[in-house]
Amino acid sequence: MDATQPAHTLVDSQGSTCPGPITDLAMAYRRSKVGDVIELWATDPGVK
Amino acid sequence: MTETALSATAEAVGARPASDKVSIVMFSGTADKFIPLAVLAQAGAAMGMEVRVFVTGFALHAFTKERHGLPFPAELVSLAPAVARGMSAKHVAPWDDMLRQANELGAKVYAYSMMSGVMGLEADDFNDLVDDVLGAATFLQTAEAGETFFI
Repeated sequence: MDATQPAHTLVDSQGSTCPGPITDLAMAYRRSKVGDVIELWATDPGVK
Repeated sequence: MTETALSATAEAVGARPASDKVSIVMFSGTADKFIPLAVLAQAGAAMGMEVRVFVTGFALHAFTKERHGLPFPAELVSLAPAVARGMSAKHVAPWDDMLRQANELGAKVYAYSMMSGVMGLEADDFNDLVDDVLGAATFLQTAEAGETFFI
């Protein structure tokens, strides 16, 4: 992937319970750069 | 110790002056209390909050290299199997895995010096979950102006 292009990252946390999804999101956020888009999929009812 | 010296110690352990921090005094040594500890620590750390867990009292045994089975309080023993089944069905991580994840996100766990001594525990007796052994004054300085939970 071209390092200068914003990345679109899919974080699949389906089936993971709270606080799993927000943790997966935080870990993905740490690996991301400014401008990247992170998409979070979750089934825990605490994720709105 | 002077106030300035204490502030310097709090700074040395990474304390932030802002209120976006959660300090948890983990005192209870029964199994039921370790899930809320781990959930709060992991959620706070994932949100970018400064999370500091101060382990004291009977909870210290859960953080030693020599693994201790955690007892359930007598009034909850009859409910424990159903909770264990539910947690397994929902794939809830064990409390120590959650705390390790919190640590990876910046949370720190400290054992309280005086109670460690009372229980005959030295720094070397604690497992990888424990970052350091601290005194009460340093913890209070660390916790200042943030949310504090006593579990």
